[in-house]
This record gives sequence, C-alpha cells and structure tokens, in this order.
Amino acid sequence: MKEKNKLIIAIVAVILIIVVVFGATYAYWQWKNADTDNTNVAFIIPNNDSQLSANLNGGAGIDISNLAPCACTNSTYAMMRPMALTYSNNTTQPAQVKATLKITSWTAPLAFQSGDLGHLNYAVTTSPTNCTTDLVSSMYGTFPNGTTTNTILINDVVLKNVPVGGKGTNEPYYLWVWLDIGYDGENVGNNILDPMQKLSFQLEWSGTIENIVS
Amino acid sequence: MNRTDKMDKKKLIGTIIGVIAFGALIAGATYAWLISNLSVNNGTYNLKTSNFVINYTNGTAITNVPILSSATASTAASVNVRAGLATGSTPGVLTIYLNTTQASTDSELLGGPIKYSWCEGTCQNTDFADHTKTLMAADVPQVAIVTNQALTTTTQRIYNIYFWLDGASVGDSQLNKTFTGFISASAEQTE
Repeated sequence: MKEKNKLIIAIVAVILIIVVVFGATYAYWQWKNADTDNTNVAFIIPNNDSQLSANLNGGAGIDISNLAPCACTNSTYAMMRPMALTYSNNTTQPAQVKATLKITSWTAPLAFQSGDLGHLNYAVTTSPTNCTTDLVSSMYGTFPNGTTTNTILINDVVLKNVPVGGKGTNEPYYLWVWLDIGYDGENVGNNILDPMQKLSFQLEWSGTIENIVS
Repeated sequence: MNRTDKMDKKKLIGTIIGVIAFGALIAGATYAWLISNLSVNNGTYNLKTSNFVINYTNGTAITNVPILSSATASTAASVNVRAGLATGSTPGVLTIYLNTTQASTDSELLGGPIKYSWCEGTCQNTDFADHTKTLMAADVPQVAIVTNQALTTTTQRIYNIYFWLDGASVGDSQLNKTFTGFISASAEQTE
C-alpha cells in the first residue's frame, strides 16, 4: 500500500513538472500588427515588347550594281544608304540597340588574291558627310579574307545607348560600302579576270534592343 | 456476561474514545477551544497586469522592382519599417514577414527571379549580401525575413527591406508575370 502511494505521488509530481515546463513555453504575450499596417508589395514584370522597342529602317531599293574603285563619296560607284533608327525604352533599366550586319549571299566565281577584299570597305556613320566622319564605334572595316555567305561584318555591336525613358524617332545613320581606289584588278582582252568584277553579294541587318542588366 | 468479558468491553470502549480524542486533537486545531485573530501588517497588495504592444510603422508600398544582375542597397527597391515598444510595454522579440498572396502570384516568379534582403538602418559591411535570399515556392504563403530582433525600449528600430529581380533568372517565362504580397510583423513577449 505504501509503495503504491509512493508511486502515485511520484507520477503526480512528474506530471506537474511537465505541465510547468511546457506551460512556460506558451506563457508569453503575443503581438501582431493590424491588417491596416501591412505594407503591400505588388509588381508585374513588364512585357519587353511593349516596354522596349527599336526599328531600323535600312532604306528602300537597296540594289547597287555598279560598285567600282572610287572615293566613298562617289554617288555613282559607291553606296551610301541613309538609314533611320526609331527606339523607345520604357523600362526601369537602361538599354542598348545592338546591330549585326551579315553577308547573307556571296557569289565570287573567281578566287581573290590575299588582301584583295581588304579594298572592299564598309562603314556606319551618323552624318552623311563622308565615310570617315562621325563613325559609329566598331562599325567600320574591310571585308575579311575568306569572306563567304554568312560572314558577319558587324557582330552585335552597340548602335545606340538608350537611357531609361529614352526615345528617338528616325535618328539618321548612314551605311557606306565602297571599293577603294587602291584596288587595281586587271582584265585582259575580253576576259574578265578580275574577281572583284564578278562579285555579287547581299548584306542584311539584324539586331536587338535589350536592357543592360546592371 | 462474565467479568472478563466486561473488562474487555471497557478496554475496547476506552480505546475507541482514546483514538477519537487523539484524532480530534490532531485535526483539531479547527476545533480548538481558544480562537484569536492573526495579526497582519503590510499585507495588502495592489496588482495590475502590464501590456505588450509594439509601436509599428509600416512603409510605403512597393509597386515596381528593378531587374539587376548584381544588386546593392542603393539599386534595389526598398521599403522601410520601424518597430519599438509602446510606452509601458514589456520587452519582446520582433519578426518581420514577407507574405505572398498565392492566388495572384505567378509560380514562374518563385524559385529564382525574386530576391530580397534586409538591413537594420544603413547596410553595414556585408549585411546586404549576407541577408540576401531567393523567394522560393516553399516560402509561400509566408516567410520570416527578419527574425529575433529584441525590442527593449520605445526607440523604434529601423529596418530596410529590399526587393529586386535577378537578371540571370528573368527570361521570357517571367514576362508579364505578377507578384502580390505584403510585409507584416509580429512579436513575442520576453521576460
């Protein structure tokens, strides 16, 4: 009987201890802010098509069939094509218009000598004065040796930096392509032996306007 | 009844009386013969419960966050909240939460695009980077952003909470997607 009583007392004591210990965990006051004091966070990631846009108008009727060695300003034997860039940046980040000029078709039945194509030039300027004034950085050069279809002349180069909120309509650019007077290919008799005189090619612009992720 | 029987009976009665008297004596302060008043001094206590209230100031709603590849406290979107004890409150520990409204949040924004961080006051040293986290699906509907902040005085502690979109995680799948949520706070009293 006494042993039984001792056991009961011990069990009761243990239960009390447990209650006290666990009871202490849930004994503190709690607070939370009123619903009216919640701070709302809500945003939509904008569709870039409506927030960021750019269009390059390369000019109509681009068929030049009489390239010949000349100064780039020669309006008969050189190409100077006015282009127009329209752009808009309504995002929260600055953006860049990047452009690529690619040779999409190249027909050269006669082999070039090394360096010949170095006389075939291209340049992009912001003024129509000539092919060396107001050059757009990294948008000028010569056709490389081994040029063929899909050769890229201007590869994803920044044409225009557009700040947040920046807009422009028909901003002028000029694409020059000319065969400089240093080229002295020669035909003999009735045979066209000069590879440059049997050359035909197609140039095509492409590009993007994209946020600069800072 | 013979004499022996009579003697046994008397002994039994006596024993019973003795036990009863002894029991009365033990229990028996209640039934003591003398009663006097207990003398008391300083025996009156005036008691009141305290309170536990936090003086909380929410911040301005965030409606736009930037896309960043490398965020800092100055380039991310931020909201400022403040908390301190109300006058007379017991001290406590503050927690600040980011709550996501699941019904109006696109899942494509969870698990990478949305980043957050916090600093107390102006970010010091590497606090901003150390506190930077990504909002994951498991954090919906609620995740604790700021934890274990002791509030011991009425002076409000100031917390800046930052949000931005990770440039490396934002692509076509995230365009036109929506996040909706809110920042809230709670506290627990401490001794």
